[in-house]
Amino acid sequence: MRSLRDRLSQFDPTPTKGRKKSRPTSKVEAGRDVDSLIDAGFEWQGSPPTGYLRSEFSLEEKSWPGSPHEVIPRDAWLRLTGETELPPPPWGVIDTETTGLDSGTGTMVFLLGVVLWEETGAKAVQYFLPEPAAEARMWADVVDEFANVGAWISYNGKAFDLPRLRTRMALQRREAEIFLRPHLDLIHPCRRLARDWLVDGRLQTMEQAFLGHTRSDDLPGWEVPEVYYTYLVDGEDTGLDRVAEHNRWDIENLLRLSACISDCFLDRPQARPLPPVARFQLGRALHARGICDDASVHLERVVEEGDADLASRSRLLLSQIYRRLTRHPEAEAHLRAVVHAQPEWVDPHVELAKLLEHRLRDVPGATNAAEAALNALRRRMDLQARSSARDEEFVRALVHRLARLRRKAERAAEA
Amino acid sequence: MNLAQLLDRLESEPGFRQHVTLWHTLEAQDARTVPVPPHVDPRLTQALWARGIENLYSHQGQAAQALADGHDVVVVTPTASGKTLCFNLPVLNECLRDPEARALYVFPTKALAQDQLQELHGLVDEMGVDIKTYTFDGDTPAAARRTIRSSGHVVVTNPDMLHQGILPHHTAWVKLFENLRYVVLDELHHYRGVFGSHLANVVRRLQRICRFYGSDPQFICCSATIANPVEHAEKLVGKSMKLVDDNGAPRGRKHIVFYNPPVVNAELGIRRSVIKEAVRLAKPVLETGSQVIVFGRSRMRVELLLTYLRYAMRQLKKPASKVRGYRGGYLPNERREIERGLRSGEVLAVASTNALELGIDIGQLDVCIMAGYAGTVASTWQQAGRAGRRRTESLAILVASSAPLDQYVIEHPEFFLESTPEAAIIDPDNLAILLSHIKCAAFELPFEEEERYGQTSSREMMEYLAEHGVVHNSGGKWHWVADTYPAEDVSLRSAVIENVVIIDTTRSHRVIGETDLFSAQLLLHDDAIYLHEGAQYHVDKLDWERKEAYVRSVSVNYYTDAQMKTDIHTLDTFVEEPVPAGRKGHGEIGLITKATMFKKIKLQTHENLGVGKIHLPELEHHTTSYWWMLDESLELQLRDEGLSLGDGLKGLAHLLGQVAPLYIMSDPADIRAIPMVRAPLTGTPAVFIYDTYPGGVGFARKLFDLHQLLLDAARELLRRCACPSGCPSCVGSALEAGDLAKNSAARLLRLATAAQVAQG
Repeated sequence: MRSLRDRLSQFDPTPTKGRKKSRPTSKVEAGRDVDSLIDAGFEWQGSPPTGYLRSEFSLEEKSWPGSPHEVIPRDAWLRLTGETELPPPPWGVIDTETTGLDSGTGTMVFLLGVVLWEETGAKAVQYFLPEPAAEARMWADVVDEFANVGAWISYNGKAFDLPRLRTRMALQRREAEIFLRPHLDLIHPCRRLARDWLVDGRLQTMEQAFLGHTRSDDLPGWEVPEVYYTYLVDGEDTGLDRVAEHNRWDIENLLRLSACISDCFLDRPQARPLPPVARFQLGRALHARGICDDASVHLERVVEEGDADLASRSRLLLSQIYRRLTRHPEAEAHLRAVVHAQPEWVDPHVELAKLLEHRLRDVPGATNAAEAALNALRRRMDLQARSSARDEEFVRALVHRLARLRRKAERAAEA
Repeated sequence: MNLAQLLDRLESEPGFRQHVTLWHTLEAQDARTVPVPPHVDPRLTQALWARGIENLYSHQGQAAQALADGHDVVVVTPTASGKTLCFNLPVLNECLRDPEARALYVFPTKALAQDQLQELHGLVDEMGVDIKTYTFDGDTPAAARRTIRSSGHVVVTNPDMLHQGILPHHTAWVKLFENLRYVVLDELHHYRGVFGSHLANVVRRLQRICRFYGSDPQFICCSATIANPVEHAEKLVGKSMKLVDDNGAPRGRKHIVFYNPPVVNAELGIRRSVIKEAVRLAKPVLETGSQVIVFGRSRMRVELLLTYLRYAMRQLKKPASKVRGYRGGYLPNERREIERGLRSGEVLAVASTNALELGIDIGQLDVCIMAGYAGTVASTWQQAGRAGRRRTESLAILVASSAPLDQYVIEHPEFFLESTPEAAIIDPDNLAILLSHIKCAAFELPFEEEERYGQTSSREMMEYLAEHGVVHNSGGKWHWVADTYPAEDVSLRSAVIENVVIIDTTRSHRVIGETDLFSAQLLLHDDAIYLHEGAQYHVDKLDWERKEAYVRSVSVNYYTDAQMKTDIHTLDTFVEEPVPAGRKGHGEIGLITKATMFKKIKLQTHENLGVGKIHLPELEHHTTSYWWMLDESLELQLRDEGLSLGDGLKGLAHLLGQVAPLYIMSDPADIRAIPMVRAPLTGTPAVFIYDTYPGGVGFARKLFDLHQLLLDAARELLRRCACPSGCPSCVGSALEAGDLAKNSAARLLRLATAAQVAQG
């Protein structure tokens, strides 16, 4: 029988995707040369193969935005997360670097960065995994160090970083409770504000918009796994310091960004001025959380500052808010302004008809509005090649409404 | 007329009886039962009572006992024998005893998984306990997945989902793996060849993960009747198995009839259409109002059967809507509706592919007609099992097609009735497959330095992977260090590693199929006429680099026939033994194939209209092969007798390739037979039969063992074939194999036997 080695040689075991480069066997003792990290301030905790590297820097005073509860008070926490209970400090602003984007167990977290945000200051702590065998000790120490973290703040950490950390814990057969604590994932409010305003919702884009900060010479995220593998397999530590730097930028900027976003959501005086498109989304976000007063303040501003289309969209939301607050005349005024500005929109006519019929008891006014709705709808359907079932249903509902309004009018006339 | 009267009529009708090669009556059998064992929870016993189950059939009792004693079991019983209770009983009992206990059910298809779940739900509802049962497959909504992972007691899935969706994410399934008590592998005989070899490795990975979480589940395997259930299960699971096969389920009287349609063209070995004959037989059944299922081998055949059966209904002045079709490609809702209709009697007849052969619950029907042999004895019994009520008479008819395998089986009913010779073959240690899964396993959990994986030490493989930067040794363990997800690259069901995609450019670009590289060089070379579902296509270009063939619909009066140069060299002889008239061997071969030229041949007249060159690179691959090297002297001997060794070998290769699936449950694409007038090294005449999958999955090894049986079967097939000088049903058409093929092959086979007699 031919040797296993001989038979294996007919197969190329490198995955079809991902790294194409085949590596020569390394003669260096791989995984030990970490000079670039030592120069960057990392220190060995224990020794190889079970030891790992850790760095710790206190943030300068100007980088500390204030105590967590001042910067993100209960009200801001509620607006940003929807949760009513404000977690106790310290908070951990967290980001990881991993060996890939897959969620399976073979994806390692090799760098963990946390800004520990305390009442009197903040420090950035980074853990670097010099080789897989160090995982057990490193994660044990991570769990100890962050045992009292009351909440996590991240950018996409709910879907990415924290599940991967929980996977690493499970592989160590370790309790993952600390990675299940309350969590403010800034990606959701940020994406919302960015929707019609910024090119995308990436962290770097948000940094530019809110911190006025552009990273120079930052390592692109997709190069990160390759740098680590090169180090691990070939013992070549080039670029590790840049990965660590990239990670630190992420967490420190995230800390400042969280303060900026909180300012926006609380409409604090120091908040970055938002263009109408972003302010509209902020109003929507607050409205969705049921915070009507502040939502209306933003939306009223958009009515003044925004273009006709955005103003009308704001007015529609405002009419809903005022209706809920039983400020019916204001609701009516906004709806009338919308149907005047956007006569082709069907919904505002319908909303106006409902408001006039049920709240303001104005049957002739409601009839006019419903007729206008039906006309707008028919015009829209004429423009389409084929009417949709939904539109047909819509027509039936409006005809039904008009019939009812006519009966009401007749009864009123009889009376 | 009722079914009994119909049976009487058929039995006495000479026109029918004349073509019947088997009329076998299985007498009614009473149930053999045992009491529900005392270790079963009273709540479960009561739920069974409520469903009319007061005692267990003997095999259910044996399975329960064997599992309670700590064994892993393989249950082998026919369709509709209450097989599912063999696993539902111990699983539910364990969940009642310990609410943390978990079980994993693996079914080969999604549809089957859905069906099994219903039965389980029924028992759980009856007990009114909190045992959660879920299916987890590609259709499971993301929102439900979290609940299933943490709280499902019984998770029902399929091999592909286990491989790609569960094992690589095992940390999300901690509860399941920590508490896994039972793994159920149903329809075990489906896991054969490449698919089975893959599954065995998925099971190895599953067991590895269980060890990590400290569990050691018992395996409950269920299989149709095959020659080697225990061996097969042991290979798949890697543990020793206890066989449970004493079927105690009752059955009514059952008739099994083999019907061979009359010959219409002896020269071409063509018989009357299997479809039309099946419909002709179904018609009087429809008249009796008995429920009938007609199995066809392909989707197209099923559609044809459906059309004809509906036509027959109209002739009988009955509603055609009571005949339904059933096959893959129908929507799930539609399928459920048909299944319900069959159970309620609303649907009178159904034409189906083997989609209904698997254990989907459609109740028991009166008559089953199989339009063509299902390919294996196991499948045939499963299909025949669709007819068979517990109290009344039932009938199963096999209608043979002209295909050689059909003809062999129909002419050798004893093959079917006696203990089945067909074995499920896998090789979990096929290197390509092993390597794929050891990568998946390394992704899932790091390998210990001396860890064994299956039969072998993982060390050498890990070192090899480390050299390629796929794993990395750290602190005495091998860790996965590539930024990809290896399971994504591994398909459990694909028998070929690389395919050529066929693109029809007639109107727009549309993919109409794909084929393996070996066939592509013969069928899809530039200027070939490619036949697809009866239509002709001209191959405008075969882009070998991109593995794409561009074809265009045409209508021409010729076909193309490519010539192939095959070079076999033996890389490694594992074993070689003298046999009558030569030597048989088994080993590793290197196979180089190259399509050289093609002929254009006129339809009907078979005139040669011209030739063309084929410019394609050589294909080389390594695999395992069985061979029969014949004595050199035979060449002269045959020549003296006016026969031809070359034709004889071609015929022999065709014959052996045809009869091999009788013993090894292989699909046509799994093995290939090659005749050689002068084999490499020895220069002697030889026939090679090799595994088409690189490295082989065990077929060749088994064929080596079966050498004499294969020759006997080939001789029998040849003897019974009515054609004058070779046809596709025996040695292949005279056009392919040569005019002397039949007589020469027969002579070679006789010599092999004569020598055996002389030796004996």
